[in-house]
Amino acid sequence: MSKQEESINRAGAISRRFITCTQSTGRVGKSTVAEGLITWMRYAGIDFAAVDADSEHQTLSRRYPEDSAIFDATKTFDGFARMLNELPPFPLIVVDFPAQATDFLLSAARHFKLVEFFEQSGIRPTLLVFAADDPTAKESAAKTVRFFGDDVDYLLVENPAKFKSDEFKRTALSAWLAQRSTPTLRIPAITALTMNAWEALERKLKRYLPLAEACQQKELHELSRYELGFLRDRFSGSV
Amino acid sequence: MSLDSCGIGFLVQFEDYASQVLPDINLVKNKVTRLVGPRTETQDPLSDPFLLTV
Repeated sequence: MSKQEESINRAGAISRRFITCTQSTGRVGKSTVAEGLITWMRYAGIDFAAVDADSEHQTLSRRYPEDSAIFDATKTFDGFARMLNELPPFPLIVVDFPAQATDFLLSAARHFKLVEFFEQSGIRPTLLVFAADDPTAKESAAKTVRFFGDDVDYLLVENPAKFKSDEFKRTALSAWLAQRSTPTLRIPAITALTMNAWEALERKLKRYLPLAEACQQKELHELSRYELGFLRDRFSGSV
Repeated sequence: MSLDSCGIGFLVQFEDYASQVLPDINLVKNKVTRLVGPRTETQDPLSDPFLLTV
């Protein structure tokens, strides 16, 4: 029996999942993954709630106002506790924490004995680990995995548009995750040029720009529009 | 419901890893239609007219 299976058995029946990323990473695709997850859950008919704990960007609450609750959960332990106390009673909870909050989150997890709290509550966390090649992101991923170990599940996220090297794959952390057969989620490859232009246009327009609409935006370079159009045509034909 | 905002190939991965992201995989009511993949024309190099010696 694997260490993860032992942990799950110790916890008993899982009634809820708590999906989040505690890694100190900015602009690596966290919102894209959250958006993909939410789109899939809506399509699959799964009841879920989104918790927007990034009070600065409020990405989830702006994009999914009807499904999101806002908590300022990474400044004080009081705010963190308030979020935990008011977790919506849905089988799946997606929490978006701000970048650069790893140390606070791990302190709060230690303070509130989060692992035990989740086990007693029937909640099994799934943590996203971005296979980023920058030192800060790798270090915060290592801190997170060192803290939670086999008490949570992990989903490794590769984002070829953002991470250009195989540096993460050469780390002991990558080997540790591979030993546990951690699934790898791969964000569709769009060039960084197009991604950055798309994000810049969203910032300029001050609103979320779905792919179908981005393809038509004259403000994007023609090449970027073709690239996004290819992605849209390739993936949208069979539903 | 449109799934074009993220791409079906991306969403299929969540379904594949449902045990990792859901408390119970039976919560999935609608399964994503699988895309076989972009059709590519393949040409047998032995019969490719462009490769014939003339």
